[in-house]
Amino acid sequence: MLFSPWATVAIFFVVAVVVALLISAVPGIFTSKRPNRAKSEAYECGVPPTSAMIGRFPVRFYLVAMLFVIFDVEAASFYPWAVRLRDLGAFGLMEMVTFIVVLGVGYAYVWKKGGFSWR
Amino acid sequence: MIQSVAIDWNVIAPVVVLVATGLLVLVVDLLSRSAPRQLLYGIGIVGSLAAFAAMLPLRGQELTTFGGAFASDSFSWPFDVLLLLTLTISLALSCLGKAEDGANPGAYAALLIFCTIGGLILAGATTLIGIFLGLEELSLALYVLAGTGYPRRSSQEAALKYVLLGSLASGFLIFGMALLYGSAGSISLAAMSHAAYAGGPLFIGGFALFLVGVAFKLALAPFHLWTPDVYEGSPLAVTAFMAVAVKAAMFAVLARFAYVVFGHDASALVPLWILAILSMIVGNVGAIRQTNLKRLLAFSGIAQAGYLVLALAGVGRGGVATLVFYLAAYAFMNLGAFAVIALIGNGDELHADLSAYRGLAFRRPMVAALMMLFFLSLAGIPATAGFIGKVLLLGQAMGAGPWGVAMAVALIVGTLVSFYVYFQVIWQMFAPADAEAVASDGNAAVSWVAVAAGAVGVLLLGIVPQLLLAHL
Repeated sequence: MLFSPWATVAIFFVVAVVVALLISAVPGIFTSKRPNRAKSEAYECGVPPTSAMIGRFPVRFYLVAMLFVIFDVEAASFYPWAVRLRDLGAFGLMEMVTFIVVLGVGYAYVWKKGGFSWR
Repeated sequence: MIQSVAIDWNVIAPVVVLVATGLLVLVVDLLSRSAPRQLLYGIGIVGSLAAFAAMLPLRGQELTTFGGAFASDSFSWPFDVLLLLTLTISLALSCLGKAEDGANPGAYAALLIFCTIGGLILAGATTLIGIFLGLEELSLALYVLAGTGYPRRSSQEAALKYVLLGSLASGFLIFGMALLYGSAGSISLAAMSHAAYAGGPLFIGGFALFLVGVAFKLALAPFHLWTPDVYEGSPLAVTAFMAVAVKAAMFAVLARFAYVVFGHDASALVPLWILAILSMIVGNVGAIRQTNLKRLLAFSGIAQAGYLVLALAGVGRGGVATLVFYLAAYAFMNLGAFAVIALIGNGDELHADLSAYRGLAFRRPMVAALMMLFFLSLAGIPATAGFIGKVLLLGQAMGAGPWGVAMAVALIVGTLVSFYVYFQVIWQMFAPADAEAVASDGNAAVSWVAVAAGAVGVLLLGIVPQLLLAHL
């Protein structure tokens, strides 16, 4: 064999690096740069920015993100079950019920303890 | 057509019992507004004992389920018992009046139970996916538990440090697993042994990253830097759980990996021997200057993890018996020492400070005698479990070539250094008390039970080790 099967990976890697470098370098060479204060500001849909771009934000956003991930994963695991509903039969139903019960207890706990209220 | 996987429910009965217990604790906490936390922890303890009862018929059997991905065999059984013992004692110590639980006893107890489930999965996992699943279940719950001393700053620090460094270690571990899978073409450990035999950069790289991840969780030097801060910051009962349960579960994984993958030839484990020697040095030397007992026991734990690695030298079933014996000894003496700290302060954090022990031998001679017993065992004095364990470890290491001898020398030197550390604590108990000594009058029955369990274990294993060794 002329090339090792890994040669394609190497070629892909080289192409990826070269293209990425080209795309970021070419505009810098050919554009004209005349910055002024308004142009250098952070772009917020035309509205004048009110605060620094990098700042602290409340930890409750992380809480929302975590809760979202839980239900996202739950929904994702429903799909394969729904597609194969008839083949999996009673066994699949039992598995899903177990899954929902475990998740449901956690859901009830978070709800009752005020995890969903925006404090 | 889908092939349904046959599930042998008996094999995972202990896990199922614990899952049900964890959920029950949450539901009881929800339904009764005024349930005392002792009730919730009591449910946890009953569940832990029920899981132990479910394990009894599995003893001496070699069973697998989930298509061979989860095993209950003579390998996992002793580790499972240690995990349940640790859960029971940690929950018992959490019942004490001043024990911290983040004002959320239901979640606290459930998390401790879920941690133990992760440990059981780790001990029984025979595939890379099973190992990762168990590890994350164990770790994620522990990150939260480390922070349950909430208003205390050091507890927040512990949680943050643990979650950041722990996630990094998990990253190493899963990347290593990906490479191992690439080299073996299978996630099963049994298939890994062919790849180990063939060697190759993919396998070596994968094993190196896997080892880094495991060494972090075991707190082997140089991956130990998180240990003292996390042990010091976490609530007392959580620290006790962390010290014993995480080591038991991770050593179960490491031993199974070493036995299944490198059963034919342990020469690839040399990096592990180096980590062990480093741990023995760092742990014992680091413990010298500590004035906080939780930090001191953290460094002691680093050294003990190094000792435990010796059991894997010259991999074989004899090594696993040694490992289980020393882990059992380690569990009894550590849980005992933590139980004494909890006993005299009724579960508060003040009594983790070494100065609280000045003059204890005159104020509370019985408690001081038991504390002395646990520290003598940690040092490895004859007639205690620690001594027999170290003798077994030395025997195991001496038959394992030059690296085994090097580790045996490190164990002896480390033990000599550790005498200074442990006798310092004993010395404090006999020193005259300061005028402003903190009150050490805790006397709760539940902590006495935990202390007694530790003392009986240390003495029985130290005087009649055959009781345990005959069954391994």
